[in-house]
Amino acid sequence: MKNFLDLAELKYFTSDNAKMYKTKNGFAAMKAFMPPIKKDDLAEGQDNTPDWQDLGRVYFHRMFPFDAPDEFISVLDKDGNEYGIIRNITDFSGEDADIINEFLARKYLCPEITKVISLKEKLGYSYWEVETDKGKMSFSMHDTYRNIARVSDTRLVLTDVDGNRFGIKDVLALDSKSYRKIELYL
Amino acid sequence: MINLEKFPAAISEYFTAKGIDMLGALMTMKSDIGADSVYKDVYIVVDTEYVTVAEGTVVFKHERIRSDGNPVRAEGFVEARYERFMLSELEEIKVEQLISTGRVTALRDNEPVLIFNFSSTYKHDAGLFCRAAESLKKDGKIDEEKLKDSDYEKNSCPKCGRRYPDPDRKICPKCMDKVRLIKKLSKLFLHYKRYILLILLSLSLISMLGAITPYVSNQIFYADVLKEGGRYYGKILNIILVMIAVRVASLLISLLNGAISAKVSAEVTYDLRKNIFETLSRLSLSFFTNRQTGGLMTQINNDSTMIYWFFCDGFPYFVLNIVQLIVFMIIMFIINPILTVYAFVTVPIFFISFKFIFLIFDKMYAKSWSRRRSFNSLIADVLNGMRVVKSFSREDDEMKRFDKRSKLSADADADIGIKSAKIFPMLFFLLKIGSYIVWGIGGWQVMKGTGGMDYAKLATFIAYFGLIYGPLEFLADVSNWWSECLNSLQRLFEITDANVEVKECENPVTLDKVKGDVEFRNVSFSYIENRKVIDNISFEVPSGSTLGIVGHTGAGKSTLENLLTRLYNTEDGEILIDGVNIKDLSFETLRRSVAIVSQETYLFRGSILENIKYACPEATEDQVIAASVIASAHSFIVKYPDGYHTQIGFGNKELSGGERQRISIARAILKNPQILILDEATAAMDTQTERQIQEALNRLTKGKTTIIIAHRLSTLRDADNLIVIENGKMPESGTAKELLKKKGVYYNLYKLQADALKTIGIED
Amino acid sequence: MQISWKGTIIIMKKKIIPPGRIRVREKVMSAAGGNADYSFDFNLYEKNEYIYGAAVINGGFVYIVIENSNKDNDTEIKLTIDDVTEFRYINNSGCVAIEYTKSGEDFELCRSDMRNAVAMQIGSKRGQRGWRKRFYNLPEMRKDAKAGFNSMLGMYR
Repeated sequence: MKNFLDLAELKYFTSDNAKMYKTKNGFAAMKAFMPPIKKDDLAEGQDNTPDWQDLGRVYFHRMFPFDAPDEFISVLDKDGNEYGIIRNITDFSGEDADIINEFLARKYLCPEITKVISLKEKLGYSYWEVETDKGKMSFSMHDTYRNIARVSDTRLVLTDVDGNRFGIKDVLALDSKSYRKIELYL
Repeated sequence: MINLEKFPAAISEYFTAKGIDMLGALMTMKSDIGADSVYKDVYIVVDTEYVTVAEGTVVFKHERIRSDGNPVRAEGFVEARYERFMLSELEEIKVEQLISTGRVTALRDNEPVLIFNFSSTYKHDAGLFCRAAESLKKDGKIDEEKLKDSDYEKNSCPKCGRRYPDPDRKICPKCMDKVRLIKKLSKLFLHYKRYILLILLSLSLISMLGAITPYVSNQIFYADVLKEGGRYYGKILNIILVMIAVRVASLLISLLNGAISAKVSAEVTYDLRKNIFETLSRLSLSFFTNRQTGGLMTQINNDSTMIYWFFCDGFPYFVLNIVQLIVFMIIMFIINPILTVYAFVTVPIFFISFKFIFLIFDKMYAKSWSRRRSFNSLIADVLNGMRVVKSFSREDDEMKRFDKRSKLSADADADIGIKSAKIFPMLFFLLKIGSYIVWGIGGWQVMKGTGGMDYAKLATFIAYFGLIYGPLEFLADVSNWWSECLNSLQRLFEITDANVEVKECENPVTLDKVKGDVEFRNVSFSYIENRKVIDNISFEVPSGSTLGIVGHTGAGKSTLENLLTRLYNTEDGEILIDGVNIKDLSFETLRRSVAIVSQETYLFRGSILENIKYACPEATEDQVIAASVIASAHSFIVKYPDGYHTQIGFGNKELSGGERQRISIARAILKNPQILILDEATAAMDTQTERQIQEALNRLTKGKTTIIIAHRLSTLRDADNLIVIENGKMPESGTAKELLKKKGVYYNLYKLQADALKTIGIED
Repeated sequence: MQISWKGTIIIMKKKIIPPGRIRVREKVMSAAGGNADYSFDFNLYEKNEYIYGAAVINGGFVYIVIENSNKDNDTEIKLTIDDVTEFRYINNSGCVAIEYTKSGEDFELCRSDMRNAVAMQIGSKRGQRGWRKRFYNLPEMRKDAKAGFNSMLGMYR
């Protein structure tokens, strides 16, 4: 099993071979020590010596957003092609880690529900009013049972009609009133 | 001498009269369609030189009844066709399979000649005949071993003479129905005896208390309390308290009983379902391909509920009610024998009509069940294939189909309801007449004072008689649930008794390290009788090499992979891995070393991560990512907002064909087996992605065996060796260069595909 | 108006649109001169805080008004579409954004959660098309197509 890890040609970025910086307008960008990027699959005569390349703006993408939000972060270009993978944000420190974290915080929006104020059901749609870490919010869900994803035994992710995501970090940690309201759908 | 079918005496006499030595014959068999395509009795005798065919009808000359009441028939044979073939003149004896009938033909002087016809009932025997005749011609004798049919004598039930519907299960549905079921039932019963006894215990406690109440409230009350000079005269309060106490006790016990039976019901149903599911997973693939899965699901759910109900509700109550009935009858008899006799005059009539109803409802329930099952299957099917329905705009037709089946099912259920509604009230009316008789005669007796009858005794008698209705009503209902239960059991045993075709041998060989040498030796296989899908194929794949299999659609390529993983067993020939026949290998070794990526990808409902990890649940995320990078799946997974946690499967995100294939390739790669089989695994992808995957796979499978099945030749670029499969046979094999030189099938395929490219202006 | 049994007067509740949203909409409409080819709302700001924002595309300009949390300073942007080389609609997880490139630099125009996702998508397309109409280059397009085709051909060599 171990042998095919090397065959896969994965590029891991760590603080040794990559440095983050911010562009003038605050977008995340990266310099990395790697062979130059092939623009064209079939071009021959390309020089493969690794050197510090300025990749410009990069995009980060969590590969396991629910399980391991700080691990296995994919570094992509603007077309979605992958440059490499960051094994763990802790591979970077200080400013670099901050830049990555900031980008991820902006990309993934999932308010965590702290309290369920009310939950009404009408004609198959459920109307929620909740208290989250981003303030009081209200939304509606249809096909409620289907749209509550059980990421783990205690972690839920609700998707509403528009596509907004709301997370419940720990169902059992909710106060009993809120819990009783959502118990139906569990 | 092989007797595929025993000849009746008249036939043997007939043949002997024609000069054929019945004792010296090598094989006798029967068929059922004559040369004029009409149902006849056809008898065939094979001896060393001749094949004799006699067609005609067996007639009964006369019949007389023996002293013990059994009829004796004298039979004769009216001949319609009689032909003798010299075996040496016949060439190429073969079976031609038509639709539900077939012919056995041969060439005589290069002219085709008909030996005999047969219907599907005898197709197996016809196949045997051909093989026997061929071996007879070759070796001069029939090798019974080679015919490979162990119990061919016992293909029909010894009792009624009918053939077994399923030769693997020697069960005659006509004769062995109820007896066998009851035996199986008792086995299950013993399994759950703890629970049943528990419930029986609590129920009997309740009914004991219930049995005391009428005595207390009537006899004692009237005779001893209210009457002057009675034992407890005036002590009304005491008596009432006693009655209340008895009631309370019975209430408590029934609460307990309710709790117990609820727990028992959950446990027993859970246990049953687990057993069924377990059995199902052990069955070989052919069981599932031959059945509608929708029907299976209804079956498991309903039948296990039915059986729980039988054991934990029905059966204890049944026993209880019978005991109650007998006890009450005895009490009533003690009180007043004559009255008892009058009271029960209607009951026997009740029970006779019972048996009759039992039969009717039996059939009706079976009909209702089968209609419901087909209805449920239709729904499951159409909803699954909604895409196809919509792309051909057949929604209206499907609606009509659904409507028809739904109506049939509703009709069957309505029939049952209507019949019950008509029949049972009439039965109860009969019972009620009994009670009027009791009132009349009993009252008259009290007036006359016969037999020491007084009002108290009469009241008690009537109270007990009233209690009889409970058990009787339940017993009347018995026919209902008994027939439903029998049906459910029958269907259930169909599953549990289904023969596991592919079994592990007695002492399987386990190999720790599998090198990966694969060899097929003279392998033949057919899914359906007499239609060979693979015919005598042999090839070798040494470890570390890549084999490409080409051929037209339906030529039998996918069957080879089914045989290699022992999803089906080969009929003839052997398949060897590392020199060991796979039939001798343990399932664990076999499944560990071989992985297939098939044409139809099946992904379970869950996240992409779960699906890839299915091959190896303990894999780390690193390994999963590596596997999916090799399979070129990583690039598109990363594009989804949820990454590897994207939910896919039925009802969730629909992936395109190429994406699904890449995920299943990643799944197979994660397993990292010694032998990897790719069956059209890259068919749904563009050539660029295909190339990427192939390059990555090349590095991965260095030193391992790969078998690639394709009909797009560009997929087979890296194959060391190629074989061509055509109509189940292997006409060519070798390297690509050799095959091109041969200018055979491969060359034609190559030219076709190259020509196709020419038409879009690309020169070779 | 409702008179309860106690005799007190209960005023019927009207559906309340948050004042912030109306104010912002009115402001951006007046900035755009009262007409709009297309308009949409958005409700997130830089660090994914919830705010009220509105946008209008009209006559070659894009007008944005964002109500900041301190309520006194609204952010107002007027963007000339001709200066912008590309409008991009970015689909994140749970939120969406419009970015644009001006003089080689990337800027973020606005962000929103999924409620306004479709509207923003259309908005970014409108902005993009406004640019496209004037930068339509046939020889460039032909060169690109041929390069792509050649790369595909290479597969069959």
